[in-house]
Amino acid sequence: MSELRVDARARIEAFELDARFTARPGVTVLFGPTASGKTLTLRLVAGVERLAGGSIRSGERVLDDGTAFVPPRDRGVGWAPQDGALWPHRTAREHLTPFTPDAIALLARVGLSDRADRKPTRLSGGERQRLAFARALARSPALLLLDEPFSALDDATRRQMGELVRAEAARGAIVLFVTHDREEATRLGDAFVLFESGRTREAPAL
Amino acid sequence: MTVRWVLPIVLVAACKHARPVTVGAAISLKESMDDLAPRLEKTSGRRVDFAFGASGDLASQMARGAPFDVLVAAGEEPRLAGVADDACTLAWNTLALVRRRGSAADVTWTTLARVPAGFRLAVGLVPQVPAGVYAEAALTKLGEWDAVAPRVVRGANVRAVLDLVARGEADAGIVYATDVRIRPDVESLGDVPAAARPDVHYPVYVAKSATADGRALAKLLCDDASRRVLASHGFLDRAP
Amino acid sequence: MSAFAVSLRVILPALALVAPLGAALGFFLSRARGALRAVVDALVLVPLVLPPSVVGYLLLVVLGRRGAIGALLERAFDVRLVFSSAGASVAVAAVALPLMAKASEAAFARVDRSLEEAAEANGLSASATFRLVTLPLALPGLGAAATLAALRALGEFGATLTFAGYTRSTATAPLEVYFAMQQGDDGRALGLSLALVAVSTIAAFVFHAWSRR
Repeated sequence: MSELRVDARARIEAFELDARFTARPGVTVLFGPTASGKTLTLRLVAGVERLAGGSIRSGERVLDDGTAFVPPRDRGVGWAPQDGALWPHRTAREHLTPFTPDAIALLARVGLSDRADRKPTRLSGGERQRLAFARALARSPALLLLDEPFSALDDATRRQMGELVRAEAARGAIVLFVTHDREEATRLGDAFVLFESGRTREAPAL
Repeated sequence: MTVRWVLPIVLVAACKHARPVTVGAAISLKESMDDLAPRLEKTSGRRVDFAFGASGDLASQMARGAPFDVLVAAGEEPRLAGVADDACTLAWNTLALVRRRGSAADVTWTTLARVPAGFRLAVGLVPQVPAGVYAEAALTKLGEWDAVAPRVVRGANVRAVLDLVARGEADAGIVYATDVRIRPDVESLGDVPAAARPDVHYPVYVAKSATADGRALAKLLCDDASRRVLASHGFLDRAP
Repeated sequence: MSAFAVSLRVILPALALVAPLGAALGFFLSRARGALRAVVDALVLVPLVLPPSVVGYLLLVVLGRRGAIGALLERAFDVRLVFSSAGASVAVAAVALPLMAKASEAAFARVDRSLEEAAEANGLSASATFRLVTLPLALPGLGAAATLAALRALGEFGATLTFAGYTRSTATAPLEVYFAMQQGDDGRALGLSLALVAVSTIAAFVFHAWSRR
């Protein structure tokens, strides 16, 4: 995937989104206060919400332009939503096995190999976040969508996970990384999209 | 104070005064009773409510306390002993073998024992449907019951039997001769042979607890004018 | 108690059809939108709101020997549904299916959509999402739905009597209670009734257990 061009207009109840930016291989940080449209933008790129106007293109391919629509499963996306959306009936290992034969290796990368047979209720908040992150990584997707993926982690673990994000970017993935932690944004970001009340501004630095 | 209670008492008394006479009747009498109703009501000055069904069902209900003043059954109902008195016999009837009009069912009273395995003969449920009891008795007399019993399907009353035949769910059925004219899509294959003829008659029972109006109505049912109406529907005025 | 043996012979094939078909209908109703969904919903509700005897009558009109489909069944397969255990199963299925469908719809609707989104957006196919996420999460609700449908099937009376008739192979427990009472056999009527109460109570506990999972 060479670049992701987002020109997204959508409305959820009273909230109006008008997000325009281009993301290239590397980490693009979506930064801004709560309820400014970052999560909605990620959902639109993932394809679990539909555009009201505008378009989302990856390279030459139109993912969504109001008429044409590529379903989420065909977009080559890995998505870690804000609350994890883990499956309560499946163990940590079983969250990854549908996507990759190397589930254990992947669990080890996020430090969860000793939690492989636990279901989400028996994982701590931080462990759950790391599992959701691992699931998003499982298919080595070209487009990685991470919505505040490390908010419940301590500093040391957060940095470790950050390294994994940078590794994905280095391999050529386009990473959209939502955070409102300035330090994390600066540490990880190659490019920045600033959100305010549903509108965006691209910036090379914070 | 006393005035407040007068109105309800008057209303209740008026209701009791206008309470209809309840007559249970075998379902094969439905058309005849509907014909008789105006005359019965006019002469007695009371409304007459009919309840139609299988005589056995009605008699069971009456024996258990259902408030029928009169019950006209399609046969003797011994379970009414002690509950009702026998006023008269209203009419007689006979059995007919029927099939759906135009069907290919090729059967007669005497060939029933030889019907093929898939053949269905509709007969009333026993013991509550007198037409079923009569049919089994007739077939037993003809020596055919054991052979035909596996082919028998049951109707909850004689008109249900008629309906099964009319619908084609039964290839043939045994109903009363008077029932044949009720459904134009059904034709008779003959009345039951004289040798096997059961004594189909309609006793009129009067409840021991019947009101004077109820008793008077039973008398009306038993008179000549009523019997003429039944004759016009094909019922017999004596045993055949 | 051969009445219960007949009941089992009648309701088991009916439930074998109703459970998967009802669940499928329920899934469709929980996900679809638009005119087709409205039509299917209305059709599913009809047997639920009609009196059972009317359902039986309509079955008779269509599936009886002279009905449009019944005549075909007899001509092509030599199948006569009236007065047969298969006919009784059809009557039972007709009244149990709407219940299974609506209760299944509720079970599927209760599955958290965000869990399915997480599956789809990470690349699982529609069938894999259903198999690995939706169905396992809906299963307790589907079990409760099936228990409800089974209870309804066991107690079915009006449609069975009107369509399949009363004969050896259609004399289910509820029919036997009615006719035993008609014939004045109160002992049998009471015995069968108490047995039905016992079975229904046990099934109600099962339903409760499924619903709480």
